[in-house]
Order: sequence, then structure tokens, then C-alpha cells
Amino acid sequence: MTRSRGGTDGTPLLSVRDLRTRIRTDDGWLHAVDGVSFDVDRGETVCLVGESGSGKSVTCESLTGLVPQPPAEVSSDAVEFDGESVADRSEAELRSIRGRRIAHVFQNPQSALDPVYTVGEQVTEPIRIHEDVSRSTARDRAVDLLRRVGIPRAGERLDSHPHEFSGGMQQRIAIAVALAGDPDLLIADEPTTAVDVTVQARLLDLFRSIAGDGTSMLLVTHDLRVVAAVADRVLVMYGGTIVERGPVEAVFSDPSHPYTQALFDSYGVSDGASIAERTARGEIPTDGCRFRAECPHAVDECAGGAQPAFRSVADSSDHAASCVHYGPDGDPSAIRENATSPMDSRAERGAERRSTDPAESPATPTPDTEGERR
Amino acid sequence: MTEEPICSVRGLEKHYPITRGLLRREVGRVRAVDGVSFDVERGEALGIVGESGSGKTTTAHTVLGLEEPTAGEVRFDGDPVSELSGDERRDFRRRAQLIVQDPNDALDPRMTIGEAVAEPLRIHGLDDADRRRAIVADILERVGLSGDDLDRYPHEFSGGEKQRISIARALVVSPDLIVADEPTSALDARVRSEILDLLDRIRREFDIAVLFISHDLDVIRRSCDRIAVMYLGEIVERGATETVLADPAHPYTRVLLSSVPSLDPTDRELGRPLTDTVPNPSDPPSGCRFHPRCPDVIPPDDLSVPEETWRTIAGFRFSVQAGELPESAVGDRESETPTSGDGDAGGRTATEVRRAVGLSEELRDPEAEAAVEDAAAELAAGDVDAADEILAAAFTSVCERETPAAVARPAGRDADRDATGTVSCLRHGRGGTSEPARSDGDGKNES
Repeated sequence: MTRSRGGTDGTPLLSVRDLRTRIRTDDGWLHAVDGVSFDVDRGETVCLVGESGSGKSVTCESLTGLVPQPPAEVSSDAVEFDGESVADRSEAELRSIRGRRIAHVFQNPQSALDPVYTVGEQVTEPIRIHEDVSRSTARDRAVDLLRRVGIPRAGERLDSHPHEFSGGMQQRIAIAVALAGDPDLLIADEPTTAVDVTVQARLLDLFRSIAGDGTSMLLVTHDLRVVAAVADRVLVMYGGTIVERGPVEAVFSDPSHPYTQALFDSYGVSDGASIAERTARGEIPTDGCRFRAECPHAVDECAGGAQPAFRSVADSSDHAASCVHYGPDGDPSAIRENATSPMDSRAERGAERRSTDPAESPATPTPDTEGERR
Repeated sequence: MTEEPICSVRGLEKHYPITRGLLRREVGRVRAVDGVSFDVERGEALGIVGESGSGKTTTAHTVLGLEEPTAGEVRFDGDPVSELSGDERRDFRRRAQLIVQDPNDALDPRMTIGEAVAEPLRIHGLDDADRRRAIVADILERVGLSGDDLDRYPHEFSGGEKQRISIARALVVSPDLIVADEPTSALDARVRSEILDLLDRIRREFDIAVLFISHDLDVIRRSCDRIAVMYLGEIVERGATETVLADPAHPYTRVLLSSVPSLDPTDRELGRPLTDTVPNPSDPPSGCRFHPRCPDVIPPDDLSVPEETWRTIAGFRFSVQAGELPESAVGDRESETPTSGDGDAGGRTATEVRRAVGLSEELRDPEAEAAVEDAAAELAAGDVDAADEILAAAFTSVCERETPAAVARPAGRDADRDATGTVSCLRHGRGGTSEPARSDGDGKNES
């Protein structure tokens, strides 16, 4: 269910076209984000997945001017939020959008929370900055927010300091601070990376419930499992470019770009006939297909110019890959052969599913990767 | 395996005193590791999995003699580590190596990697520099780097390459045991996969035992022959990795497994413990340490309600104990004083509290019904402690009275006893006596 936010129907909440962020380093310009285009629809959760250095975090930070300029330079054809351009806003205007309409959550809640102030003060601060409300109203709202993110006995804990909470609870508080301005878009950068899996499970539940309330989310992660748990759509990034995009089920059932396949292979879900040995190391190309130096399917056409045009990989027109083999002259069958969907082997989670839903548990006990061992 | 294990741990305890005041009076103890026993066979990969606070890293450090155990014994190749001295101790330090999570912690930025990898050789008495260089070049090749990298500095390498260097550094002195403490947690998925492959290859090639310490079940699943699951300083389940992960017997193992999101986006259900609060290791719960969070905690013998209702009651009880109740289930104590004193102070009634915790229907068991009603009334009045006492008295589980002994895991599909392992859970029996365990409805009880 999408909240009515007064926006024009049909236009995406966030629309990004040809975003480029380069950062000046001692060795010259680093093209951290190199021509990224995507939309986030109202009420939608989009995951940006990639490895460190793929540009996924810089992409998010570039949207709201969080990347320091200089040393960075951000340019784009368009960054439109709710139908209006934010690309050429002043710092003051950006600050007003940031926090209220677009809020950020980061990996480490300690960096978002000030140890000196109470939790109540930190949750009420954005409310009082962005809205003209009394102290007591703000306080009531803060209690509601803390309750919303699952802080038990929120009313009593308003006067506690962040260090009195566990890491998972601190992240919840940081999320409450982010939600305080009632944002339309929540940008979360590796929000569950620093916590234990049982804590992560609860945070993922929370993100899903926030999404269920109609808040759009752009979630950055390196973890395909997190993507599978929360995403509506996926953007796979490599070397500052998006290489594959599509609805989460399409991408996970049919990973199509050789890089996406390599990423899935590393989760040990394939049969081992993978491209385990990375063919090359070192510099990532800055033209054509950025993955070609590592790609087992690389051909001459992969080099030069802009990244390969996005082509639909299957019947689903939304699911597309930036790979020459899917082009009019290409033949993706060799890549296809390699593809192993994690959805083919549900056995890995068969065991614990058994107690909740016996019918769902597959009969085949162990994935092949394990059968080879011992 | 008939050979003696390379490393044998018995009754290991490591407690850290909590001191207070100028005289550092001991006011309590963090029981980081509390009675842990396991063997690492020669050439095998054993994985210890657990969350933060489970004691897995402390266990690893104690095994390596980096910390003195409070009690218990670690034997390396038959000899008690604590009694080693002089040359024996130095030899132990050579034979048991550590790989840490962040290779930056292991590598001196001012040392070339050739020097870094040669350092252990020098320390352990290889004085011939040319020979050292030759050995180091060979080792670097074996871990997937090049002999030409010898004179480069750590900052010139990626995180994965640095981890390869620290593996080379561990490997260069021909150890018998490598303790790998979260060796891939700082790495991207593809690099992680390569490093695990490398460790696996090295283990086979040189017949080195590896003790993996990890919070990541994917890592353990992929790399380890056997697994030991730790919770609050204790091993709760162990056995062959494949069988334990395919058919987990301990409720905590099940919670852990089901908390990891599936790679199938159509299967988004995530498991959850009964309560979320991890108890303080300085004051661990009595009996089974997992009982306040256990979805399968055993009901009192005299309670006659359906299993599902019991789970709700147990959830109510332990949420009250952990202070995890939803706001809607607790009255406001402060507003009680001046105006009214009975029941619905703070605007809540016992009925509302019961609805909030999912127990609005009257229970068939009259004693249970009375206890739930009384506790709800206390909560409505804002007295959490009184509610806690009522619930604790009325719904005492055997799990909080008795400490479960490690018993054989129920033999699953394959009845291979070696692969069966053990589980410490009263649902599976009390150990010693052969009293049948209660069934939790999925046929996993011993009979």
C-alpha cells in the first residue's frame, strides 16, 4: 500500500539519470559512479548490491549531496525527487530535503547517534527541526517512533543514553531518528552488517514493516541474502556501473550477467563448475563492460565506449543486463549454461523450514557442493 | 581416526572478574567460556559457530595459550599447553597458528610482505636469509600470490590478498593447527569464497587441522567437517556439519539457522527466538541457558494447555522477565498514585494486557488462568516485578531447574554414530538416565 504523498501518479518517487561521481585522488580521477540510472517507485524497496568499491554507497551519498565536493565531483543528467530536480539544489535546500523527505541510515549506529544526548533528545530533534511542534508533542511522537521500531518500554527509555542499548537496539534508535521526519524515502547503507544474524532477522522484519507502511527504500548491501529478504527490485553494481537490474525474483531465479552469476557462485549454490578462478586482477576497466577483465565470456566487443546497452534477458522486460551477449548480435547461451539459481537448491534451508511448514521442505537433502566434501 | 587428536580441550572455563572500586573488589564474573570440551582431529576442519558473547573467540584464544584458562585443560598433541615451557612452548607457538579477521591487524605496514612472512621463520631459528627468501617465495606462490611480491608493502594489496599474506605467514612455519578467527568476515563474498577455498586446499595439501571461529553459517557449512554451536559460553550442539545443519536438534541451532535469510526471495520467513534479549553472561540463566529465549521450552508437568498456548504463555512470561513487553501491555505506574489505586491505573485493564500478549481467551487450566489473570492485573497496575514473580512461580519449566547434559543427537537419516554428535537439550533426554524426553511434535525426541 502506497501512501498518498501528493505526488503525480505514475512518476517514480526518485528518478536518477546518468549519475557520475568522480573523486580526485593522488593517482588521478577515480570514477566511483560512472553513469548510473535507476528509479525508485513509491512504496518500493530497491536494493543496490555489489562489492566494496563497486560504487553503491557513493551512489546513495551522491543523491543527497553527502559526498564532499571537493574532492568529489558529482554530475548527472537528472536526479528528480517527487518530480522535482534535486541535482542543482543549494546546500541549504538539500539539507531540508535530507532528513525530512529523504533519510539515511548507516551501517554503524554509533556514528549516527550522539553519545552525549539522550535517546529522546535525538529522536525529537529532527521532529522539532522540520516541524513546528511543542516539546511535549515532539516527545509523544518520539515515544510512538521508538515503539514503532520495536524499543520495548519506549516511554521509560526516552531518557537513556545510546550506550545503554545493545547494538541492534541502537540501530533501531537510529532508524527511529531517520523516520522522525516522516520521510518518503529511506536510504539505508549496510544497515545490518554489524549485527548478529538473530538481530539482523529482527531488523529485516522492521525494514519490511516500514516498507509495508508505504515508505520507499533504497537499501545498499553486499549480502545477497539481505536482498532476497527485503527487495522488490535489485540493481547489481560493479565498477561504478549497474550491470543487471530487475525484479528480485527474476534476478534471483535467473541471474544473467556473468558478474551476477559469479556473485551467486560465491555463495556456494552452484555445482562447482563455476568461474572460481578469477581470471584477472588489478585495474578495473573504465570503459565498455567493467567486468570484462574478470569475465570468462569476454569478447572484443566488450571493450571501448560506454557500458553495453541494457537488454532484456527474458520474457520479463523489466529484467535486463548490460552485456553484449544479450544484444542483437550476441548469443547468451554459453552464459545461460553457467547460471545456477539459488532458488534451485532450496535444500540449504530445508531443515529449519521443516518445523514450520513440512510441505515446503524438499526431498533432496544436500546441495551438491556439500556432497563433494569429506 | 585412531590417532590422538592434535588438540584436545576438556572442561574449559574462562571467567573474567568484574571489579569495582579502588581495591578492585570482585563483584561478579563474566563467564565467557563455561565448561567447553572438544577435540580437533589431525587435518580436520572444526567450526565453532556462535553469536557475539557466545565465547567462541575466547575459546580460540585460550586454545592458543593467549589467555590462561580459569579452569579446564587444553592439550596440544597430548601435552597440556599450560605446562609447556622453554623450547616446548616455542615449538607449540610454531605448531599452532592464528589467522585473525582483519589482516591489517596482523601485518606491520612498514614491513615488506617478504619480511612479514619470513619473520616467523627467523623467530623460529632459520638464520639463512637466502633460504628464508626461497621458502617465502614458495609459500607466496602457494597462497596465490607471486614470488615477485616479496618486496612490496601491505598497502599495495587488496583485503583478500592481505588475508592471503597472513595465511602465508601462518603456513610458513609448517603448523599442525591453524585457528582462523572470522577469517573472512571483512571480505566481499567472492573474495571470501576464494580465501575459504585456499584454506581448504592448504588443509588437505599439508594435512593441517583448522579450527574455524565464525558467526557465519555459510562459512562453516562450506569449510568444516564438524561443527560445534556455542551459546553463552557453552557448546549446545555438535556433530558432522552436514547432519547438524540439515537436521538441527537444539532449538538454538534451529533459531540460528532460520534467522539467516534464504537466497530464495519467495521464502522470506525468518525464525525468531521466544525473546530477543541476550542474557548477561555474568548472570547466565539457570538450567539450560537458552531457556528464556527457547521456542521449545518444556511446559510444567501439571500444566494442561495445548502446546501452542504454552508457547504464548512462555513468551509472555519471559518477555515480562526480560522487560520486552509491548508498551500496550504495561500500565503506567506513576499515574497510579494520586488518582486511583485499582487495576486500571494508566488507562489499562487486565483484559487489555491479555489482549496485547495474545492471551485474551480464558485458559482451560484453572491454575494457569488464575496466574495469567493475576499477572495481567499487576502489569495493568504497572508492577512488572510482581507480574514476573507470579508468572515465574506458576510456570516453572524443568529447563530452568536442570542443566541439560550432552546426549547423543537423535540419529537422523544416516545412523552413523560418529556423525551423530551430541545435543544439550532436555527435550532430547537428561543424559545418564534414560528417561524419555517430551516430544515437541516433530519426532525429534529420543525414545
